[in-house]
Amino acid sequence: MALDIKPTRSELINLKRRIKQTKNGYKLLKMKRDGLFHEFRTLLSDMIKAKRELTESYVLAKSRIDLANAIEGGLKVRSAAIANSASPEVEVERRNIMGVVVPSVSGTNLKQAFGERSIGFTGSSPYIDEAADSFGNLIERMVKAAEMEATLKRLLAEIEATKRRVNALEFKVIPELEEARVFIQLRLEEMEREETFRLKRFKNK
Amino acid sequence: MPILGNNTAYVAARAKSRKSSLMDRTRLRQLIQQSPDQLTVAVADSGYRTEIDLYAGHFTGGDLVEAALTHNLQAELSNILGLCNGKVRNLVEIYTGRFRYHNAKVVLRAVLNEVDVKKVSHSILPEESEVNTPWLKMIEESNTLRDAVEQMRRLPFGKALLAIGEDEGIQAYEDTLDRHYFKHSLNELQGSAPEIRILRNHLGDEIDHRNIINILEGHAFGLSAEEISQALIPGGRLIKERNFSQAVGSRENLLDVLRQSNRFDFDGFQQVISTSDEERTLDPVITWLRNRESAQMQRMSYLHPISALPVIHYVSAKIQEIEDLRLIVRGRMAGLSTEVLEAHVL
Repeated sequence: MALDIKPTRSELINLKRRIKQTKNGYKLLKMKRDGLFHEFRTLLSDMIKAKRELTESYVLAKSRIDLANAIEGGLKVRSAAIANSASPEVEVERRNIMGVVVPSVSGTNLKQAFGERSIGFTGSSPYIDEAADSFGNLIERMVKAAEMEATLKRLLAEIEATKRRVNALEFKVIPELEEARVFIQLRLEEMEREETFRLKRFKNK
Repeated sequence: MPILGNNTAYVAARAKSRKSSLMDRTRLRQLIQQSPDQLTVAVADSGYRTEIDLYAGHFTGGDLVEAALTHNLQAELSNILGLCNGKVRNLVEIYTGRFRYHNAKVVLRAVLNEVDVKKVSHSILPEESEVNTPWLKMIEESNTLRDAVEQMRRLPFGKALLAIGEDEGIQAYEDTLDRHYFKHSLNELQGSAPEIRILRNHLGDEIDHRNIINILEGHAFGLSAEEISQALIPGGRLIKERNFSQAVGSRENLLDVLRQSNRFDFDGFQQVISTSDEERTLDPVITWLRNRESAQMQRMSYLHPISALPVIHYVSAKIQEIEDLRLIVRGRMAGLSTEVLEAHVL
């Protein structure tokens, strides 16, 4: 590497300060990477659980709506569906995990309580009610899983970026700065020896 | 109850003859084994060709078969009612009258949620069926729930709906409709004639089944005893009105009330309750109660061969055939297993 630096004492002091700062930054980034990774792993196990629950909820909801359609008829299921005027809505907000902005998803009307439905109870069909309840659970889990998946993706991208920065500092920036420091130190020592030798020669004359 | 002259023997004979042409279990089992693609053709070949052709332009798949089956049922009900005169007609009408209550609910729901009449006519009440025309007209001409209720004032349940306070929600209207059918029917069934007594008992059993399901469902969904109590229908034979407060307290209380009756297979019921708990669905209970109802209906038809009962049994069997076919077609198309279908059909 061709070092384009001035071998001066002030440059050495600057360089030493920069090395110290870089090493501090490196330590912080490494801690951030480890922290993010820890967060990622915790969230990942939750996500795996949430995905499994989501799949189970889907299978249950699907089997219940199929049974409701078969036993009560599609016409009756659709007539129950038109009674529900409240459609689910989701709201996405931002939250911060170790400097990473991740979505926080909350929803309204995701699931209606049995007593809040817009249909009568006396003649209602338990097949349709159970299917509606299962789909309510499914939507809630979908929203939760979507939030976790988006968070995981953001965390993963940030981990990758942090890892690249840590590696760049560890294997490129810090070694280069160290090399420059060694170069300046050697150069200064050499200049000092030259000066001593020159003074000795001058004294002998 | 006006009597215009009875033709009980004639209608009973016609009903028995028609009942013999309904699909038997073997045929239903064969249908269960068929692929979804073959089912529409198989249903059409089983006497539903005209209706399938009628709806083929608007619907496909399970919707097509269901619309055709419903149309056929409506036509058959009005046909069988057309054959009946006098007392027998009144009795049969009590049983067949239940279908208009569902249509009334569709109208109320559509009006309340401002659902376009075209959407209703293309998905819930097909315009191809003349029976649906007045209901669709009601949706078109009503802007509010009260308007729709006003339009229903001439129907048997019109007064009951008008009596509901204007600030009440749709739940109150629907619950009133469900209660009205049984109340109105039980009021009509006054007298000591055997067929009237048997039909009254049958309706009482239907009420009991409805109440049992409501109590179990209410508890499953965490409703309070008061809320469940409001949903119960008076007139049952197993759970008398005076026992409502006890029966809704808890599931054990319900079982205690049912245990007191010697007309109820309590051990069998307890078994399906356990299955229901394991599977976390009321399906086993409902299936068991439906089978009980069907067995009672079967027994009822043999008790008095020259009465309205064989006609009502035929109507019930026809409804059962329609429901079984719908179950098979919808179930096969949705990929339900043969075991599930057989458990519900047979």
